[in-house]
Formats: sequence, structure tokens, C-alpha cells
Amino acid sequence: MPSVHFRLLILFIAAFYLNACEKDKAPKTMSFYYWRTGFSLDTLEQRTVQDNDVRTLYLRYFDVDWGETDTAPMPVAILQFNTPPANFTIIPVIFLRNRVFQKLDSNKTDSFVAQIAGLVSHISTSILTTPREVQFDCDWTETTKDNYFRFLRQYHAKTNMLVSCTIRLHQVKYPDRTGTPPVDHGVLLFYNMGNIDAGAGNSIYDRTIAHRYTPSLRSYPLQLDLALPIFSWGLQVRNGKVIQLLDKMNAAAFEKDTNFVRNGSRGFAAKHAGFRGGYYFQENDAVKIESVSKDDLLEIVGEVNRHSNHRIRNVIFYDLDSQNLQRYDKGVFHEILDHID
Amino acid sequence: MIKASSMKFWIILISACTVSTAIVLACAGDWGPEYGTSNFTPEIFVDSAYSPFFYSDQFYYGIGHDEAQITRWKYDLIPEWNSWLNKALSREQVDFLLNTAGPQAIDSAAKTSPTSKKAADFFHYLRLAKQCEAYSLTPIPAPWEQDSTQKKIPFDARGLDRLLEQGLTTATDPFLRERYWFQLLRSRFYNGTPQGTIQVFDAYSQKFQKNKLWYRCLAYTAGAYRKLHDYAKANYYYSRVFDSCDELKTTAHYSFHPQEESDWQATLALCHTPEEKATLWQMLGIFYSDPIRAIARIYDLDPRSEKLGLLLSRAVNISEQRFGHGKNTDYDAPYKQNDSADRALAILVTRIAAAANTAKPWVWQLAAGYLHMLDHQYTTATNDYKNAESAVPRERLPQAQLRLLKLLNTIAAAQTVDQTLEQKILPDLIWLDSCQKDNSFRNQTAHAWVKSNMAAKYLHAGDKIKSECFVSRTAFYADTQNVEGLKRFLSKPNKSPYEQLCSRFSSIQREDIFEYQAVCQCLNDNIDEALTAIRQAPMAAKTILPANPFNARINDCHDCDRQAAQKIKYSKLDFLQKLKELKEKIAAGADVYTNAILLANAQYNITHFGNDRAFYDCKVLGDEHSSPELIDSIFRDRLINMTLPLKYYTLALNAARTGEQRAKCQYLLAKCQRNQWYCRDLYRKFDTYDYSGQVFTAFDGFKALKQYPNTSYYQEVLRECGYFRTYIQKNK
Repeated sequence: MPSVHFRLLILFIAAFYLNACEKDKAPKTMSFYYWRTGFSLDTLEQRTVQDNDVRTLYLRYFDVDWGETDTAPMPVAILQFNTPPANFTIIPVIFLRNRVFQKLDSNKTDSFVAQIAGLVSHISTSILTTPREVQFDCDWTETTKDNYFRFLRQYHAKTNMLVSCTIRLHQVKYPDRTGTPPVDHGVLLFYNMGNIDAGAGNSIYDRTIAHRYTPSLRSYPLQLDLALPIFSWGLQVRNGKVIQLLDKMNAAAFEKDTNFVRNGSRGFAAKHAGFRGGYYFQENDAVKIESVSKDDLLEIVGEVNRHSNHRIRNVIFYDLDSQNLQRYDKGVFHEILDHID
Repeated sequence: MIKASSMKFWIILISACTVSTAIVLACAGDWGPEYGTSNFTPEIFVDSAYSPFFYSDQFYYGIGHDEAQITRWKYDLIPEWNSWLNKALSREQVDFLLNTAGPQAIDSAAKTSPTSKKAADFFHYLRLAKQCEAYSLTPIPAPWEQDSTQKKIPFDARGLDRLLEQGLTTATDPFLRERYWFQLLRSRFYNGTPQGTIQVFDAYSQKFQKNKLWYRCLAYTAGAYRKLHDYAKANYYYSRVFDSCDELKTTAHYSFHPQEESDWQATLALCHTPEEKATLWQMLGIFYSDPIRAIARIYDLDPRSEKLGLLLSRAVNISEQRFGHGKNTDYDAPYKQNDSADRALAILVTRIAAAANTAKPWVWQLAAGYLHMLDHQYTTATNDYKNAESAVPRERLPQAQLRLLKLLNTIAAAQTVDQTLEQKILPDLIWLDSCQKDNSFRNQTAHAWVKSNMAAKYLHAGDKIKSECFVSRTAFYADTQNVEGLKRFLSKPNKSPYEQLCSRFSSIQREDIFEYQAVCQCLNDNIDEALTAIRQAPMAAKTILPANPFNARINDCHDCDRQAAQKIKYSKLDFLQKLKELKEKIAAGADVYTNAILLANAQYNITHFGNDRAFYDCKVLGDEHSSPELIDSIFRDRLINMTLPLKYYTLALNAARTGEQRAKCQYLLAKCQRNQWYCRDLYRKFDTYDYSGQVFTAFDGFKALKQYPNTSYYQEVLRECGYFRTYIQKNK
């Protein structure tokens, strides 16, 4: 009969292996982007974050743009707080328009960093939070790469904060052209991959288009989180051209309105000129609804799993808004998170 | 009959249009005017109070964004109070008290001013009004100091409101009473509740005159309804403000926002008169880009409504953005109406013009004519203008508008250009040219289009000279016959009036041609001919070259050469004369080596690569070419050609006696070979910012220079030329 020592040894070895296995599986977390200009969570939004154990919120603090007639970059649409966010780890997100870096003088990067850091700090202080990480969202191009990367480096050096940034599919596929940003990690924005037009495609998510990019995930040098779309919108179409984006509007907004008739599987047409949801429609204007279903989301995750080599850790849903949430079942977010390999 | 199009014709036509377009855009400045392409001036027939709403690519026409929130009423205050006070206080005092004084200054002024009831009432009101500034005059913070995150500490207006209300109920003078009313209402809006605001408005609105202050109150009340989400009422009040208070039109526009069809219909139902309805349709037509529906509705309500004018101007300004584009420049291509909005507009405007029952029928007739012209219906347009002729007021601007549109139509309708057309449009062309600096009506677009259209017509008719006068094309200069022809035309002594006009239009004048020819001759080594030509261009002949053209460096440094002290400065004429001297000396065999090098240096320096590129800068060839790709392709080869420098450096080499001399010639030859290599191989890859290929190669000159390692010149090159150093290291 094996000695006690031997049994203990077996037990010890087994425990060791079990621990090792658990270490391989880093805990996956779920969070949300908050992208509206006034911060306040309604009942559905609060319940969603509670039910899904969401600890971190990615809050858009402000945008930065450099208008055509401006002589310097300016903050735009600074987040206002009706009720400050409580019990969250806040990661400020700053959206920078690409043209800021087209116009920014390389020797002005320093002062630009200082301006942004100052405003970030000011906002954070007023909501009693000290973020350790900041995220930048910029759809940079080959020609702005140098300026943008210099900015990221200097921001990290100056503030000592962890810096992350958003990555879009074309940047994953062509890192030799657009470069790999000097950040701790990136967030892959898995949406807005198609053209915004009156055609049959879905500009938010299209499987065929996604297929062209996902294989590049395997070799992308940065650690990536995954951002998934839960938003929908309408496109107002006149004479075959998209003339307006109908933000956060979906089929429900038009179904009950007798002035709109169904036009194909995802569309409506206005019978007479009139107002709806603050927008004005001329007679015969068409509305094309674009959205992402639960099945689409699972499909995305499956596709990403195939090429990510188990590197995706965190999922961030875009964006936290009851207009989006009410289109999904309660358990959908958890289901998607579980699906991540 | 128009000839069947040949390939050549199309190439010329297309290149004419593209080049001429480029010239037009360059003249228009960075982004062009905010109204884009336009021949139809709203200022001529629409009230200037509506001007922020003229069609523009900016938010508001003429002012960009409305940032006058704090200053909008500032300048009305002093005359108002001054007039009411009626010398109880001096104007300077009033100005100081209203705009500068703080509480202490007010108190001391109150003590020291002559006592009168008016003065006392004024000071009492003033003290309260200054307190109101705490919430009504919030300055716009600097962008990076915006503090929308800070909780707004609510202003406790209870005490202030009580005093304002007291003033409102006890004052007997209506001037004061309405001001107390305004301050109280505004305080309720900022510090109280929407219901409180509405209550104050409803209680007193009937008691006061409908002046600007009254409409300011109405605007705040509209805002209160909007806060309560009563869009029907809010939008109705905003429409009253928009209609009746010019200063607040932009404010009303900004806040006017129907949400659902039901509240829009409810707003319409609140109207008491057709005119009030017309205002709402006007606002919808402007702000929601549906001028056709709005025009139709207002026309039904009241054909004479002045509200139609703005909508018509916007609709035409939007529709005319297609003027001068695409199909309008093709004579043969049949017109295809592919924009239903343009078609619907033309039909509506024609109908209204024909009825002739609007307040200004001539405007509709002009608009109809213009829209017909845009649709290539030239005969119809001509009739429209004929009908308009008698109705257009005999005032400068309406007549100018008519004249402009008629001219455009005449030219657009003409299939070809001939003497008849020329004589017909000559007075109008002279007039249009004289209006270039006249900003009171839009003529820039017409000016540019007339030039380019006439140029294209002349080309089509085979008259290259007149075409060149209207719009200059670089392709013209590829053929010396053209150049001589233009020179002859410009030199002609007894020009007809039309020819005089063409000559005046030409951007290339006689002297410019001679200057160009002088440069070309010089670049072809025909110095005598160059001298003859430059003497016919005295201004050019006098131009001083910025650097010494006879020097050469190991590393080309144009800035260095310009900054270096020059004992002798050369004008273009001096330069050519010196070249002639050098050639004569060489021909005579005198010091061939030195003179050949000087000549070669000179020929090198007047190419694109040299320090005196300014020699060839002229109207025809252009200037500011920071790379060969920016030189027009017609001229590029001439200006980057290394043949002459190579020829003379080789001549020098053959005359060289010492190793030092040979070494120098070989290196200078290498520079020429390098430039050729750049042009052949590198600049082809102009688009690649990330070019990482080789930046030099083993030039023949390098290989030859390698044979002279013991010369001091060799050592100099080794020190100064990194490419040569690399070459030597790699080829030990």
C-alpha cells in the first residue's frame, strides 16, 4: 500500500497541475464604452452593469478636433456629469480626429500633451477618480502615424499612466504601413467596417469584409481587447445617396408610424414629408436600418477565436445606452463573454 | 455644323478645361467663397436681416458661428437709457455706469449725481440689473479651461426676484416696468422653473408693447416650453421671434426643432394668421432643406409673401452649384437631367414666374431664366430674360444681375464663336471685366467661366491665339509657331476693340514672351539669340540673379550661395553677356579649362538644380518649383537637362593639364550624372514617402575621380561628399 508520503506527493502534484491550468486561463472581463455627452445611468443601464458584474467603464471624456478655420486643436463635447459615476474603475477615453495630427507641428506635441493631460486630470478630479489608464481613439493613417505615435509616447512619459489605444481592422492588417502604436495594449474595434451607403451591405458588421482582416490577428504584435458593437442606426437615403445618419434609431422607431411603410427587409420609406424623431423626411425618402444581432455577435467572436490564438482577454461593448440594451436579452452579454476562447 | 470629334479635339478640350479649372481655383483662394459657385446674388432682392440664412457652406452666412450672445444688445443700451434719462445724467456717465461700474462705483455715483426721480429710479434698477449679470453674462471660457464638469452652484435668486417683482408692481413708468418684467422673467428662466417663467410671461405679456425686449421675453418663454418638452408651443413662439426680431433670428433658428409630425401640426394649428403659418413654412424650408415644399405652401397662402424670397435664393444657390461643371462644358454631349430636385425646382419657379403675381415678379423671371440655362434650354432662357427686361427695376444691382445672366446665356447658347458673337458680347465683356473688384454682386464665377468657355470655343474653332488670351495653357508653348503667333498678335498696332480686349485679358504679355524665348535660347546654347530676345524685355533684363552663377560647390547649397557676398551681381542681361564673352574666349582658345568650367557652372546653375533657377523663373515657365515634378511636363525636360553642363565640363576635362584639374572636372561631371540619375530613377518614385531604395549609384565621375587619390581636391570631396566616401569605402 502506498505510503502517506506518496499519497501526499500525488496530491501535491495534482494540485500543482490544477493551479497551472487555472493560471493559463486569465479571467475574462466585460466592460462598456460610455459615449454620450451627459453621464447618467438609467434603470436598465444600471441593472445591466450590475447583473454582468461590470467593474470598469470606458468613459469618453471629450473629443479633440482642429477645425478648418481654427489655429489650434480644441476639446469638443466635454462630458457632463449629472450624477458622477460611483463604484467603477474609470478609464478615460479621448477621441482625436485624424486631422489634428495632420496639422500638429511636431514641436508642439509637448504642449498638446499638457493640454490634454490637464483637462483629463481636471475632469477626473471633479468626479473623484484617479484613473491609472487612459485610452486614445484615433483612426490614424500612414501620414499621421509619426505625429500620433510621438504623442502617445510623450503622453505616457509625462503622466506615467498606462496608455492604450483603439485599433481598427485596416490597421491590424497593414501594420507595415500604418505602424504599431507604442502603447501597452490595444482595443480592436470590430465594427464600422463597410461603406455607409444605400446598398445591401451592413456598414457596421459584414462577415465577408471581416474575413479579409481577421487572419491578420494572429500575427499582430500588440495585446488586444475586443470591442463589439451593440448599437444600431438608420441611414436616411434620398435618390440613392445617404444624406443623414439617424443616430440610435432602429426599426422600432418607424414600425408604428403610419407615415412609414416597409421597404425590403431592413428598410422603410416615407409616404409623405414629415418629422420623425427630430429628423425631417421628404416624400419617398428611404430609411435603411443597420444593426447587429446576437447571432452576429457570436459569429464575430467565433471568427476572432479562430485567429486570435487565445489572446483576447477583455470584451468592451459599444456602447452603454438603454436604446441599445433594450434590443438584447438579458443574458446575451455574458453568453458572448463566455464564448471568447 | 460641328465636325465629328477627333481624338485630338477631345484631348485639347479636356486639357484646356482641366488646366483652366486649375487656374480658376488658384485665383479663388484657399477654399473659395462660402457660397461656392454662384451667379445669383441674394443680397439684391432679399432683406439683409435674413443674410445669416443665405446659402453657405458655413453655419451662418457671413458670420460663421453666432458668438454674439453677450454683445448682442450691448450697444442699444446706452442710447435707450440716455434718451429716457433725458439729461438727468450725462452720456459718459451712463456709458460708464452701464458698462464698467461695479457696485461701489454705482453707490458713489448715486451719492454725487444731481438728484432727480429718474436718476434715483435708474440707480435702483441698475443695482439689481448688475446682480443679474452673475447668471446672465457667463463668459465663454477658453477651450482647454472648459468646466462643464463642475456642478453649477445654483444662484439663489429669491431675494433678487422679490426686489424685481416689487419693481415690476410698483413702478409706474412703462420703460422701467418692462425692464423689471424682463429681468424677472429671465431670472425665472435661469434660476427658477420653466413653469415660473411661463407664468411671468403670461401675466404681463399683454401689458407691454411688442418691442425687442418683448421678443427677448418671448424667446426665453419658448425656451421654457422646450424644457418642458412642449415642442408645439416652443416652436410656435420661436417662429414668432424669428419673424419679428431680427437680432434673435439666429437664436430662434438654433432652438427651433420639431420632433414628431404631431407637434409640427400642432404648431401650425397655433397660428392665428396665414402669415404666421408662412413663417413656419419658411423655417422648415430653410432649416430642413425642403425649399420646394415650403415655396409651394407659402405661395398658396399668399403669393405676395416676402418670405418666398429667401427660399428662392437658397434653392437657386444650391441648384447652381452644378454650373460650369461636367456636361456644361461639353458641346456635343446631350443633356441628361439626373437630379429630380433641380427639375422640380425649375417647374415650380417657371409656374410662379408665369403667374407674375408675386411681390417681385422680375426675380422669379430671372430665376426661371437661369434655371433654364442650367438645363441647357437657352431659347427658353432668352425669352424669360426678355420678359423680365421691362420689370427689372432701373437700379444698378438688379440691372447688373440681369445683364450678367443674359451674358452667360448668350455665351452658353453659342455653338461656335464668330465675329457676330464677338461684337454682340464685347460691351458686356468689357463691363464684366470692370466689375472684378465690385463685391456688391457675385461675378467671380461668371468671370472665370466666361474666360474658360470662350477659350474652349476658340480652341474648337482653331483660333489658338485668342484662346490663349482668354485662358493661358502651358501646352500652347510647346509649339514655337504658337509663341510667334501670340507675339505678333500682341504687337499688332491697330487692334480692333475686341482685339484690344483679348490683348488685355492675356496673362502673358509681349515682354513675357521675349523673356521666355531668351531663357529657351540660352538653355539651347544660342546666346546671341538669347541676348536679342532679352533686350526686348527690359524688366526681365534688369532682374538681378540672387547668387553667383559662375560658382560651383561640392555640395549644392543654394541658400549658402545666396547669402555669400557677391562682388559682382549679375542681371539676366549681364549674365547672358558674360556667357557670350566666355564662349568667345573658348572659341579663341584662351584659357579653355577655366572658361569652360565657368561656362559649365553657369549652365548648371540656371537649371532646376542650380543656385540661379531664378534665371528661368518667368510667367510662361512658372516658378517656385520645389521639385522637378512641380515643373509643368511641357517644360520639365528643358529645365532639368544636363546636356550643356556635361558638354562644357567635358570640354574643360579635355583641356585639363593637371591631376587636380581632372579630378575637379570628373567630380563636377558626377554631379550632372547624379542629377540625371535622380530624374530618371528617383523622381519616378515620387509617390513613395517611404522610399528606402538606393540614393546614389557609382557614377562614372566617381569611378574616374577614384584615379586621383593624391590630389587635394580628392581629399576635399572625400570630406564633403558622403556618397563618394561610401563609394570609396565599398570599392577599396
